[in-house]
Amino acid sequence: MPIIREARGDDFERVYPLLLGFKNPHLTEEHWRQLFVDHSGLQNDHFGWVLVDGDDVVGFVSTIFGERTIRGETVRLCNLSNWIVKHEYRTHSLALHAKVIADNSVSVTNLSPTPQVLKLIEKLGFTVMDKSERIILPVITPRSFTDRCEILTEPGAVEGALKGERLQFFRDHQLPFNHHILLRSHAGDCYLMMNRSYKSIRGSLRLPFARVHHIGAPDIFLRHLEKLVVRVATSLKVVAMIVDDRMLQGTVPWHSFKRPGGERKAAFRSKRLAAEDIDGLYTEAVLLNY
Amino acid sequence: MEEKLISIVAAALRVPRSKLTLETGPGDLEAWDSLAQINVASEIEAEFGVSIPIEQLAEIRHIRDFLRYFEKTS
Repeated sequence: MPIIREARGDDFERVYPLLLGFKNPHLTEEHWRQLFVDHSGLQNDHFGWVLVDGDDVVGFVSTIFGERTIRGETVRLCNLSNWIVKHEYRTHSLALHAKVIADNSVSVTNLSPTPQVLKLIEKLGFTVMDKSERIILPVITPRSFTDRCEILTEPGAVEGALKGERLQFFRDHQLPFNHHILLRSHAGDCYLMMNRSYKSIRGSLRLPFARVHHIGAPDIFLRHLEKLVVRVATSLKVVAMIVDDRMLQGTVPWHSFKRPGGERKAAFRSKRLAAEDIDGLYTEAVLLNY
Repeated sequence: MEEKLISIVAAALRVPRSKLTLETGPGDLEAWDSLAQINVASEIEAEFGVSIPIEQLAEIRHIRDFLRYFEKTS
């Protein structure tokens, strides 16, 4: 009879063959390994749950923990992802999921559910949220030269200017493809965290984008967006920026368009959070370079 | 109650009633996956006026287990 137990750091080698079942050609073993590394110091050697039959790992679900201050309150987050069970053990699939959502004090997110999983977790009380994305192009305009904001891109400079929780975000996201920007204006600072990530354009053509996962001050971000995107494009050598629509506070930048590829949805369960509070920090998105 | 339960499960799974017995479970039918399990539970909850926590639902292996759950909680 299979049992369910916590997935520990040293379970990676046994779980990895299962993860290959996702058949994602863009993820290497080193990518997947990050799900078993404690980047935040909050994992406590607990990286999810495994379904074990004898010596074999036959099912897994990943949990990535984070802690954020949202509207003055400390919120503990758990990003649920990469839920996979061998077909012959599918009757135990729900039990894995049940372990993740057992703790009602944690806000649980799932940012990449399949349509089937989305239906399932919605029935389990998750709130579905729109995850439409917008591609923002670097366009040089007179504003690119007249905008007086300062944009820091060098990691040492960014780190030196951050403090408190934002400094913690910086330190907890240090994979090679994680990038940090600090925009400084007379109205205040805006800290950004993004991945440099290749996306498919057409056929086998893949180009590098700056996939934004956190915007510290959306109003400042939007005010200086034209200069910012040009600077990010040249610094990170990317063709454009990708941002979740819900991070743009209803604004549609004139130099942007909706990312093709159909509807994108995610889901969360929380007593405290709204969809606008949820971003990519401390999630599979930043670890697996989505 | 047993007959009613089996009928509800058959309707939720969209399979002929004749395919099911009290011993039928998720492992016996391709159609009975995790989402179907939730759908089955929703229909049973609505019909019998009960609430089945996910931890209990995850332990259901046969239709008979729903009866055992009712007995335990009544």
